[in-house]
Amino acid sequence: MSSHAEAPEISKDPVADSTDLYAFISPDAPTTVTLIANYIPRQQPAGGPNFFEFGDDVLYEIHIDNTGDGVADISYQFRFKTVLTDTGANDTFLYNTGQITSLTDSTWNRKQFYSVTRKDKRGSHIMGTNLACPPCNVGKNSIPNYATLTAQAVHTAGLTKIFAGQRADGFYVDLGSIFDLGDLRPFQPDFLLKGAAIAGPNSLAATNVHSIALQVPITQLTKGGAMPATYKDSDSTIGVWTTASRQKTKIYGAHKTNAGPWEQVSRLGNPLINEVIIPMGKKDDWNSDAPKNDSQYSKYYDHPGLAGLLNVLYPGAFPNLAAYTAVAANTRPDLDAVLLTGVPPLFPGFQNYTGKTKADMLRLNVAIAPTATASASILGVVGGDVAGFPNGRRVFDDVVSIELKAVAGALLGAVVPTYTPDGAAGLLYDVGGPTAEPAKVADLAAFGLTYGSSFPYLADPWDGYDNPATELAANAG
Amino acid sequence: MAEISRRNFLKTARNGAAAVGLVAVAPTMLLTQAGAATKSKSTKTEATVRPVSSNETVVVHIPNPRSGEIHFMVGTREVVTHDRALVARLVRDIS
Repeated sequence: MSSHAEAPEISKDPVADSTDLYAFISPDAPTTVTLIANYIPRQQPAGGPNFFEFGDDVLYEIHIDNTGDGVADISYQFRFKTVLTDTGANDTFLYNTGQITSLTDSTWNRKQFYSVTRKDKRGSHIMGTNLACPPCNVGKNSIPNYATLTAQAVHTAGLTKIFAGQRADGFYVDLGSIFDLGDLRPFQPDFLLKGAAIAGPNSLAATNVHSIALQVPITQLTKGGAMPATYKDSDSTIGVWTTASRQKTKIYGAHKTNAGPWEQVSRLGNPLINEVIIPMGKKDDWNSDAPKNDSQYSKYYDHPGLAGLLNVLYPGAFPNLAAYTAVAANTRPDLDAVLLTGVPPLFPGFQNYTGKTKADMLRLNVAIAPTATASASILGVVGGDVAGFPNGRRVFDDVVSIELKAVAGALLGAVVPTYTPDGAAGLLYDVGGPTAEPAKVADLAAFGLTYGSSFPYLADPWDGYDNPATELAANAG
Repeated sequence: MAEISRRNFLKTARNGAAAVGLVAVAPTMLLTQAGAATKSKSTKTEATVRPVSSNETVVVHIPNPRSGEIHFMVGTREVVTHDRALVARLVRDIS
């Protein structure tokens, strides 16, 4: 998945496991950047008596580099605190003892609150304390109007909007096909073990995640607080990544405590990097490392394992890629540009180059105006929409298909003029119909995906009582 | 292959370079020992060393008893000192 349980150690610690990161110019507030980092993957909506929640013992951060060195110039820190409403004589085993219609309801027993601190070159600034999270979406009887709670949970600090809580996972992937020898269902007639072309489902349909989200004025993120005049300005691009950290020691038992400095256990910039590019034996190290050190991983970008496999899995479909990768000296400057340094001005109206430092960060050119959601291409720059991935990442961008095409060499010809991309490279996708790839946001509804039109943009979480899983069970009965 | 009995295992652990691992101690104990460490031979690798509050839990980590390196963790701080005598005494006390 994008980064759901992508490394051995973090897969055992979902509370600290970053799943997706988004950074985009807010379509309804274009002087601001929206930053969203998701954690706690693959949440089934039905739960109880314990529901998913942030870790009180985890430091969640979203980092901004506005100088191109892979070092954070600004960090937003989120710390959580869980509070029980019913204690003493009213002690209950339940998450809620009645309907929750407000974030202050006494019928909601287990609440979470959080603080947000901005760290920058001027020091630490507390933006908010005791900010309320919304509850998990228990079900329609407990929470008759979840949207009301979402609205109550959007806080403001100056010109910044803040949210933290459960949302529907907006990421989509046909996980079963990707990791079952790359058998992309729509392309089965060309697969090594041939079959019929069938639709690719969304393996994450009807699951939830927990989001930390900010909507920040552009001028609070750029170098020197400047608003770049054009996309060509050298300071027009910011790098973004998220981390989760735990304290160095944890003591269980009667004297339980956490002590010691924060140690980073999870990291995420561009989607699918630790998932697909970084080898198994390095994934845990990568999670604890910093973007400024990513040149050590450059060889895995230059020789991605998936590129070497494609012509084997789809015999004869990628002859040019096979010939190119067969030469050990050939590297992948296309992937370097998209994923490690930013893209130089190769395409009209777009660049997000941040310099020679190789660092895994989402790179957002803040001088590029957003595309109206209805007309946006979910293939981003590959689909001719320069407001989408790899120019930052919007909640609906089809990053799996974009990166499949990129790894297959669809963009390699743009930086290696002697290389001609294989015809199949630009066609690859995973989630979609048997013969047609989704292109617009509206096309994703068929795969259980809808999005909000305003902050925090990810849809309200699936509820525990009514969701596709319960409907499937009812139909089977 | 020789059978490792519980008795032999314990004996081996005592005599060998068994990792002391993590030891949670009371703050007063830390203050005493840290003082001893400072007097004998210490190297503070963190420049900022604030006083330890008497109600803060301190976790002591000795990664390798032979090196004499001892880590004190309190709050979100970690102070590293080198004190072979202190480490040897701790190892002796728990053996």
